[in-house]
Amino acid sequence: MLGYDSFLASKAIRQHPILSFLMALAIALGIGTFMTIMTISYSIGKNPLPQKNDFLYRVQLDAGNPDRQSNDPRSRPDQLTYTDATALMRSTAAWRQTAMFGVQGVVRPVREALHPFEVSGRAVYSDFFEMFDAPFKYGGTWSTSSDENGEQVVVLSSSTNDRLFGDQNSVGEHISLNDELYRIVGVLDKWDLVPRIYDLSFSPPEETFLPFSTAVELEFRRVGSTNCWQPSPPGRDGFLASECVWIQFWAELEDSSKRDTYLSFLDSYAMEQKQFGRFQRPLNNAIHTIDEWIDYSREEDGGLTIFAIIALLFFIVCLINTVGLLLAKFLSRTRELAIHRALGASRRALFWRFLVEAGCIGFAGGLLGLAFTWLGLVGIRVLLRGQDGALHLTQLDPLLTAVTILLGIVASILTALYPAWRGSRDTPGVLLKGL
Amino acid sequence: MFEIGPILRSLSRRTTIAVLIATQGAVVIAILLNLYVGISWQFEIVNQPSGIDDENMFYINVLIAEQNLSVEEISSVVDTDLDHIRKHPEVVNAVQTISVPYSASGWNYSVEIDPSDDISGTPSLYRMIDEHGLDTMGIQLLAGRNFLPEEVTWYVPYGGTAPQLVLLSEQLAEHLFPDIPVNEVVGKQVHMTNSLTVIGVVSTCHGPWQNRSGINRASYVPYKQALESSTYLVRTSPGSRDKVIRELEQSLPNIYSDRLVREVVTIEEALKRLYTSAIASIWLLGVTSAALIFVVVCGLTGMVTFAIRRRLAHIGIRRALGATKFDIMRNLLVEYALVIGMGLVLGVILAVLLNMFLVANLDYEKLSFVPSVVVVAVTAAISLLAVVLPASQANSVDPAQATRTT
Repeated sequence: MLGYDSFLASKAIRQHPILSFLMALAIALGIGTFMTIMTISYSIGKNPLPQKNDFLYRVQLDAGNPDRQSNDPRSRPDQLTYTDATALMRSTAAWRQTAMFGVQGVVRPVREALHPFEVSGRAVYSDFFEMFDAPFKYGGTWSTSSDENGEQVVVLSSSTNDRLFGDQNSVGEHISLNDELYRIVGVLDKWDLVPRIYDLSFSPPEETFLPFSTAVELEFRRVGSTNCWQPSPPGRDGFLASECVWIQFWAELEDSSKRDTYLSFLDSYAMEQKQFGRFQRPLNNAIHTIDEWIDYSREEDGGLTIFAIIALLFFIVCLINTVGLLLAKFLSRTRELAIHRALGASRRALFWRFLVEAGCIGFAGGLLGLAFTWLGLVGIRVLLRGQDGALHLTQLDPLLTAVTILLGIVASILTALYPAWRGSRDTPGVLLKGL
Repeated sequence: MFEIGPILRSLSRRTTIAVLIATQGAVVIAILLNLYVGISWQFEIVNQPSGIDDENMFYINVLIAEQNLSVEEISSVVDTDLDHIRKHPEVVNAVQTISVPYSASGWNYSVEIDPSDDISGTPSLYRMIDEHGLDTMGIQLLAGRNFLPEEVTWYVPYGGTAPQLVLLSEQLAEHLFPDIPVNEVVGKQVHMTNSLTVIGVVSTCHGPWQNRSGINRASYVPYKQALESSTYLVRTSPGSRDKVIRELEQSLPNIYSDRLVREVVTIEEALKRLYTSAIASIWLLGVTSAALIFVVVCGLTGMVTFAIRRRLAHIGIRRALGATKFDIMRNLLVEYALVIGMGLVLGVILAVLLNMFLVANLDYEKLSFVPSVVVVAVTAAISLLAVVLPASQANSVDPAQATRTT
């Protein structure tokens, strides 16, 4: 039966080849635009460490400006002061925790007469690697005593190790970073963490990692934002004691049931600080899972939501369009249908015939839509050339490919339901009378 | 005259296609009007006047690799660098600064008049320049005076001598002192980390980021920076920018050898880099609009073709009874104009609702009246054109042929 239906469908499609093609094209354009925008939106919000989502938390403490009284939960700073970050690090409320900030340093290769070069770095605590599932190729993280004593130890990214040691196991060797010698304790394997969730940047993870206390002590040049609501007292120590926020803080809990306990720990820390005249705003601390943090940070940038709304509406237009075209197409064939009905075809059979015809057009539209999606993503990749993460954002993975084709088929069948029902409803007698 | 009564009555008996056409038109208008404001908004961002000589400027960032230089040693390197750059015959002027236009990195400072009140300050762009700064960036002095060489002090890590003098951009001066003319702002006191005296008001110079309201507010303080990393903004004589870049890349390391040239970026490149995503948005929105119009025209033509084909017999009878081709055409056009018109009215309402939602929740731009009217008119015209083709096709059918069958 399906064979006969398909035969009739292909005949009907060939009868109006241009119109059938235009219908497929309309579905395809709708799907193409919708999926292009959805792919980007999906990739931006994608959590690269889903297995850590119930355990890792970004910490926000509201040590903000008391003059700016605002009930907006977003008025709290994203980052922590040095005072608070180090105080939290001294506590044992979290299972693992790390304060961190981005740095830059200059490496002076000892071997050969290579020029000094600049590396990106991150000042972290020893738990960092475990927390963010950083894969080690050689060695491992440094000890907690290195954190406490500000030892000069370093973990290299695999590309930095290649550059300096040609992929040899360099653990135990030394590098000269900012004119000081650092002992290499570990070398990372290739690490794809896009976006880098700990600071939500689309740049690849840093080239070197060193203890937080070492980076503070040796005054590494910082990268990233610093926000101060009151002037920092003079000198380095003044800056460390200031209310300026510049440190990101992440905590790992054993499981999500500890979440409330940890938040109340933060609140009690804030209450304690209030006695020293700090934290003068109403309590407004928060912790976020990775997913929540991505949402929280992207919320301010509404551009993508707007695109998504527009893409959805566009898709709806394409669907209405298809309904109209199918309806018109089926209704214009009443004579042929009346003959089929008079010769004994049931309404059901006609209904199925219409659905098969619409399904074929929809499938073609889905495939063409996939091509348009691909084209759209390539176009955006070209437009965003040179931006970090451009490649990551425009990646069509198998899941999205399947969704695209499925969307084409489901859309065409849904849109065909009403026209098929209308088309198969007319009574043959009335229609044949005109013959 | 237009037989609107009979047309409406006949429409009410065959509603499905008409409803679909009108709904489609409504959603399309809702999208197009909102797309249009989105596109024009992005255009506005990209076309913000820079206030500087884009084509003949670049910045170069150098980093001293040696870690333990004293402030005096670093400042002498910076002075020698500046001297060297300014002496180049094709350099008009140069300055060491931060918050370079379009560079995507810079400082903001909150400026206020009275630090003791509860009103929080005005965020403003913060630039450090010496007496060459205004000339290098091509900023005009609107009131007051420029810095004098002896007023320029050194900014050192974690502070230094706080500056006593400040230049305000026109927009910042107007924002802080809305009631007095700019030339009277000169001599006033403003507060940043300490109290500063305004010695001049200057014209706008684009900030490091994409421009939204308020970013043209800027303050300039008389500082040179004694830091390992140093950015020089250079303006060259017309046409010699690339030559100067090549020569400075060679010669700057000779002044102090132990350092890296981190980046050399022309203002044109910086501009392109900064606006990449805005330009991508314009393309995305533009292509979406074009695709939308294409889909609608195809759909409309298709639906009308089929709908008219069903009525060929009616048309044939009317022609046989003496209606002219013109009558038929007018009749069909009036009919579809009514349908499309209803769709457009509904669409405008929908567009306003959608826009209200976007403005309230996502900080979108408001619809503006004149462009919206134009978009609606153009859509209406295109839609009617999409009807004309199938209508004239129906008209060309021989009445005898049309009445014989169906």
